[in-house]
Amino acid sequence: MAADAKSRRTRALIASANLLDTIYNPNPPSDGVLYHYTDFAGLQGILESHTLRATYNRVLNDASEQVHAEGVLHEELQRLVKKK
Amino acid sequence: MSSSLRLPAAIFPARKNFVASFCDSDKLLSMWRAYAGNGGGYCLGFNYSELRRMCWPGPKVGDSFPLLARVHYGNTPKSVRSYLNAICVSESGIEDLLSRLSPFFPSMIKNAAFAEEREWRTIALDPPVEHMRFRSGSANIRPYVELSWLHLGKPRGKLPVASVTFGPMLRREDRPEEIIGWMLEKNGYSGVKVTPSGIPFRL
Repeated sequence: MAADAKSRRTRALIASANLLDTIYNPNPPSDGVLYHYTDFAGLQGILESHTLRATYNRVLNDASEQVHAEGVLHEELQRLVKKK
Repeated sequence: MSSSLRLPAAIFPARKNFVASFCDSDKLLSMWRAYAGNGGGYCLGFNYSELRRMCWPGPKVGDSFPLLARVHYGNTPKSVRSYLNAICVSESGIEDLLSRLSPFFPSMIKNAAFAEEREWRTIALDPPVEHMRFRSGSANIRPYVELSWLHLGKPRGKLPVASVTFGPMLRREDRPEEIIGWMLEKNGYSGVKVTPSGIPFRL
């Protein structure tokens, strides 16, 4: 029983480490460059201000993205719970 | 166990995620049309490893540094599935389990309909209101924060711009290479490649 718990804990730790690795160390893009598409005002603003704009995700073109991500994880958890 | 398990109404505590978007290609016609002046715009290439150092205007502002992440489309990423599978799910432990998922996740999983965008994002969590700026969207107000490039915690000034590609709707006879070159030079950028998109698209 204790051995079971230990191996479960080990599996959880490995999965957790893999998860963090996926998030924080993704495989880099193939040509080592990431691209930002913009219009003239964007090009000018970026070059003159030396900054990039990060916009509030709830007002972007997919306003439901946060809800979508939560829904995807929700379904995954429900599936797991049913399996156990 | 059980259908009786109740998941919390909001899996992630309310966080304010601010994102800057990138794509791993400068040759996607759909991106040119949607985000770059219907093909008459521009595409800046940034050195990936330098971009990962992108940070706040000042260090130690907010409670975490921005993350540059690849976006997953449609399904739960395999690593998250493995993580959830490996942990014993119980009603009492569920909130704890979820709290250990990265707060960046809501911005890393998007609807499969957007898969063609091949997006990467710099995600900044909970920027303080005093750093926010506001601009007009097509039918809304868009709050944003400005991210600058830091090196060892100090502002480095110029961004790691590697290339500028100009859109298929721009005419070569209007001298875009030359003029973009002047804009780059005026703002202190040297050694930046300026090229046409090479996409044969005209409205």
